[in-house]
Amino acid sequence: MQEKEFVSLLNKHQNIVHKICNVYMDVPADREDLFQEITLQAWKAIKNFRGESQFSTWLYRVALNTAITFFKKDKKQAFTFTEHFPERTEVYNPIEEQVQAMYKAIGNLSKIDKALVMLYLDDYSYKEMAEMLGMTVTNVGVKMNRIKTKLKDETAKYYHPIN
Amino acid sequence: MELDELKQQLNERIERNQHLHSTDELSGMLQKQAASVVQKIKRSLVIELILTVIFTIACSAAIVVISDWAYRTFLIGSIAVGIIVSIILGFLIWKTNKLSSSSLSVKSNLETILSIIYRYVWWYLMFGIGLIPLIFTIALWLSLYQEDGVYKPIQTDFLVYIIPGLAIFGYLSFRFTKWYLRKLYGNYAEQLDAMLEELTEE
Repeated sequence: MQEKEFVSLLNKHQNIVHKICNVYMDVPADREDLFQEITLQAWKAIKNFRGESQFSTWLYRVALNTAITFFKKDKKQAFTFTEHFPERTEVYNPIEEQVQAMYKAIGNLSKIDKALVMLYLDDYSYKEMAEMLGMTVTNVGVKMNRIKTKLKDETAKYYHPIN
Repeated sequence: MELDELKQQLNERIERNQHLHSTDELSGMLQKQAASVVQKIKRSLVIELILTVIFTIACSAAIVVISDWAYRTFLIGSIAVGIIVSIILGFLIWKTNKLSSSSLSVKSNLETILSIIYRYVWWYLMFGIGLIPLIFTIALWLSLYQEDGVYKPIQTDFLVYIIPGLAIFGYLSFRFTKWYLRKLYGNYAEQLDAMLEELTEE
């Protein structure tokens, strides 16, 4: 595949990479570094893309592999609360508050659990998730149940409804 | 509240704050250098391979010039080591290239990266324990036990000093290499190992 064709495909599907960067990195500069790294890894791997799966699925796999094995040296990944959750607006929106609480809970998950949640939110089947991560379908099911329970409990800590 | 109830909103939330890149920016990114640990290992391996090849060629050239049998034997040994090292380094480079150009499952990817790190670390430890002290010992023997171009057999006093010296040198070299590699890759390998365990646990 030529560079131009690859860039065009990546441009079309770059939201996948952005989503993964947003979930795996809290600081904007780190997100950019990860985006750059994923782009390079995808470019290196594209010669072996045979079109057996959709480009988006293939890119998802490359992006997840890169994000999971990507570590920033000597930097504590402090969760930047205000960046993700702007100051409360005057109009209280319970759904928005719940989403923010859930999002924060996802941010505290392990890298593998984050991958499972992302794939789940993108409507991948348990079978596809198992193939992408190299797990058994049963294991994916067990883990997803645990994650859902964990997220429910964690979200309750962050969500304080105003009566 | 459940994950399923907020699926749509969560997807929207995750997609927020996206600065979409232009095609020019994306093209520019392809010209930059990768920052992953595997790519760093690959760069080190390539440099080491180049240095080993230069060393082997230099030894081969020296054989033509030097006539002393002992030095020639030493050089032939060095060339043999150089060739073996080049093959090992070449294999590791091939392995890292294969990983860079594949889209494995997350589990296989973690296993492959770990195997590259462990092979790389093992290779350096072996180099640290064995090869460096051995070469120094032979070089020492060659320089100390020659008189007018005639080599004396190894003396007992040489063995008395050199064997403990070799053991201490080997041990210190091993400890240093281990510490240095742990500093470079230890924590990273541990984190990957933990994730691999997470993927396999029932």
